[in-house]
Amino acid sequence: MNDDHGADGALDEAAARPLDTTDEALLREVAQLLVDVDPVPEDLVQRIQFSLALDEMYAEVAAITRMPLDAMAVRGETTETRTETLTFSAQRLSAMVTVSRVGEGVRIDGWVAPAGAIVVRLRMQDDQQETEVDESGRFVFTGLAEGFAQLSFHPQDEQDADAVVVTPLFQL
Amino acid sequence: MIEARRSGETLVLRAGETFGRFQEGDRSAFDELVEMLTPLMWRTCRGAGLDPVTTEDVVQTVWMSLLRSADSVRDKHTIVKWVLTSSRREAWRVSRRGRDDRDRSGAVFGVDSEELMAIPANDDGPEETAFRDDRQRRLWDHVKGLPERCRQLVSVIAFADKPDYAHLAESLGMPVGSIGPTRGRCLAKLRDLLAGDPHWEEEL
Repeated sequence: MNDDHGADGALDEAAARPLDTTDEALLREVAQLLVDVDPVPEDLVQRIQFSLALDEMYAEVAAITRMPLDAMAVRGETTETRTETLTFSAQRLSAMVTVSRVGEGVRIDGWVAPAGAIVVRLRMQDDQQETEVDESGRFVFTGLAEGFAQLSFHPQDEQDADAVVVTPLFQL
Repeated sequence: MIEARRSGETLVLRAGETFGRFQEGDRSAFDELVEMLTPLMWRTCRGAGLDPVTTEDVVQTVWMSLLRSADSVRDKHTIVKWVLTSSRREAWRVSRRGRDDRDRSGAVFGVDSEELMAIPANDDGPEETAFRDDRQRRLWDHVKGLPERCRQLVSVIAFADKPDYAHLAESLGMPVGSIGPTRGRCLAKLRDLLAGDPHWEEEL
């Protein structure tokens, strides 16, 4: 490729020309390429629509960060146990969540900071559960089905919806 | 797919009208909007080099934020721009955020942030078998060879209606001339790359 061959002036000139049939054919080819090698996941729209169908008002969407698989796992764990750690950060609070598949069900171990009177709601396609964090900010959900889940954190000392933090969907 | 259509029928206009219906209280219009614009957001984030999982997070986060603060979008016809600008900004934030967030979480939860390691935000690209033929493989290499913003723009307008190109280019921070649909620098650059490839043959 001779990048230098096309000097800036020549590129500018080519850029200013109207789109021609070659451009259109090229864009069609690019579209086909992307559809073939990088398709939008089939159920993505559906998942987004589910995550948006919350009944509650929320103040903040927590930013999700995924930890590399097993980075925090204890050495020597059986291969049947897969764990994944996620963190959620919002202005009002942060949460660290470990998802583990143990035996039959999926288990979530969570930790919210700063700790306080906080109700945690877990929303899944066919399930909804609620629990309160303990003094140290920890919470647990057990026996969950695999699928996508969404958490919301409801501080109890502030009654207005302004305090609720929701997370994007993540996979169990 | 890419032919001029009557105005009122391009994606940007349809999206504006749909968002207007949502603002007037039609909640189902929001779901329609999600269906309409999610593919463009996917292309924008993937073009920015995010992996598929992170792209999903970003796209979802942008929609959740919009649902919460839809009132802040004054002019319904700017919705595509709002959504693409937010996706771009969020993608940029995410790719730089990883380390800060891990440090912060490490501090908050008393975990050594070294244990949390760096997550590569870059992508390995498709499997070799994903390509139909050598021509596709070659085209992919050249599209990848474009600067990031050009890659985003080309992969977004490939799915758009011609009258929308200028609006999309502006939304992605690459304004093109406002007079008529000109080719623009990104497409010109891609054609230049292809022209410099002795194995590439124009197919018309």
